[in-house]
Amino acid sequence: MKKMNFINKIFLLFTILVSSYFIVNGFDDISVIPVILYTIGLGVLVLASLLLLLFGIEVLENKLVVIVSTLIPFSISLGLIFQYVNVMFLYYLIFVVMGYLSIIYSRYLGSRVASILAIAFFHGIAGLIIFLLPIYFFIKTSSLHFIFISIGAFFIGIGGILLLFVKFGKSYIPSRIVFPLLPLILLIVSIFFGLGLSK
Amino acid sequence: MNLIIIKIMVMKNRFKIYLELIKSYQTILLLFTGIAGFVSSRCPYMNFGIFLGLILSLFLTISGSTILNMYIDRDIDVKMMRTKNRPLPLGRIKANEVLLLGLIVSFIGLVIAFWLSFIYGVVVFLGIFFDVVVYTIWLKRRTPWSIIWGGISGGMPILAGRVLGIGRIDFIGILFALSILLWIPTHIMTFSMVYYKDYERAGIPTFPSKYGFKNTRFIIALSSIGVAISIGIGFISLGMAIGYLRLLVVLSVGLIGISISSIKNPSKVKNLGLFKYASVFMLASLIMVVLGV
Repeated sequence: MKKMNFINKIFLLFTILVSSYFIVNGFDDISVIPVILYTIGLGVLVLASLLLLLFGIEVLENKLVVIVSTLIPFSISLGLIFQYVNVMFLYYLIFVVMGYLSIIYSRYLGSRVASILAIAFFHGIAGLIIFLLPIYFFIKTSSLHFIFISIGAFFIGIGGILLLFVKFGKSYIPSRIVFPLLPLILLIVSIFFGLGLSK
Repeated sequence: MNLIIIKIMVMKNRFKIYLELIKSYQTILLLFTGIAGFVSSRCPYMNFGIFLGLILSLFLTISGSTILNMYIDRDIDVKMMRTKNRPLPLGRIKANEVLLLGLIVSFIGLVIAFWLSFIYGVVVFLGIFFDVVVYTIWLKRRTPWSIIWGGISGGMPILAGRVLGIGRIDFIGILFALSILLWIPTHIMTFSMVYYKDYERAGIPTFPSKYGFKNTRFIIALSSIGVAISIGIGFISLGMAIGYLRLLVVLSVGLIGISISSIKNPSKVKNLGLFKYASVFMLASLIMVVLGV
């Protein structure tokens, strides 16, 4: 098992605590469906951090990582659509289900190119929704919590892109640089998503 | 002056050895289960004296039974790599002193427990009896199924804590004791796989030696799932806030996921990971009980 340094372990521990706090106390004033969806999003952050702490950075080499991590943008974007653009919810739900099935299928049975395309398209659109939709609502309402969601989306986007480079063997940014950055990114994401989604 | 310093040094060294005899990590974890059991009762007459009595009696009885186990198992400990550096196998302390210490510490703990409440004292006494007499003396060297009794004794502190709070044994207390009972095999069985040769050398029957690694992994995974279910029912029965249930579901998904994965693609790393995760899960659940009731 590759050794993780102390400071990264602390970042992961705080990610677990922060995400857990928002899961427990965060969203009691909103309806059930977004609560479930946001719990999934923050829950993946809790589990990812726990697994990184217990199993080490090697856990990122597992095939399931892409599939599970996709749940973060999918669930949070679905929750946002439900809360703020409810008329589009059903269409977007169909899009997310199709996207998720495509990513799973291409990851296990499809080609490498199909897998990259499926992730880039579906994951990418979900990521853009959680980045751009809150900015739109911030401009409309001046409510600061929307910006927090966008900041969280920005950082998780960076983390996702860095991981994608490593996973698909691109050597622009080597894994020895990417992996130590992930715990900090996870912590930043959990703080901003927590603050943004819980209002 | 020098004599006093030497005496202090000797006492300090003795105290250090005593601390090694009580397996402090395990004792603190079990003590915490007792505190969680007590807090879960939302005891209406809770005061500092009772709370201190609970901590003291549990700490002493858990420590006492651990010390007595060290005395009884000293011939095994010397044969195992994992335990050969404990104070008794190394000869840093005499066996009779350990026996006397274990008896005194357990006795004081039991006196406090019975003084606090008779039924609480009975549960605490059963914890020591199951651990020292049934598990260690009677069954440990005979059958791998002895761990059931190890598990039952491990579940006694949380049950005792709840009994002290509500004055009787109830369904929630038994449920929490069951969750500890199910958690303990994951601990002991993982150790018996990791230190398989040690246990063979010492002639201790274990699940891996009798039923094989594959079946043992399967049982560990099933126990872990059982832990998640029993804690979940416990949370609902306690009427915990919905937020805590949400977090419990998240953590349970992880526990069940790793359990299933360790059955499908077994490996040493996964087993150790599952063991660690189950311990974190247990600790997190108890913290939630303390914070959430």
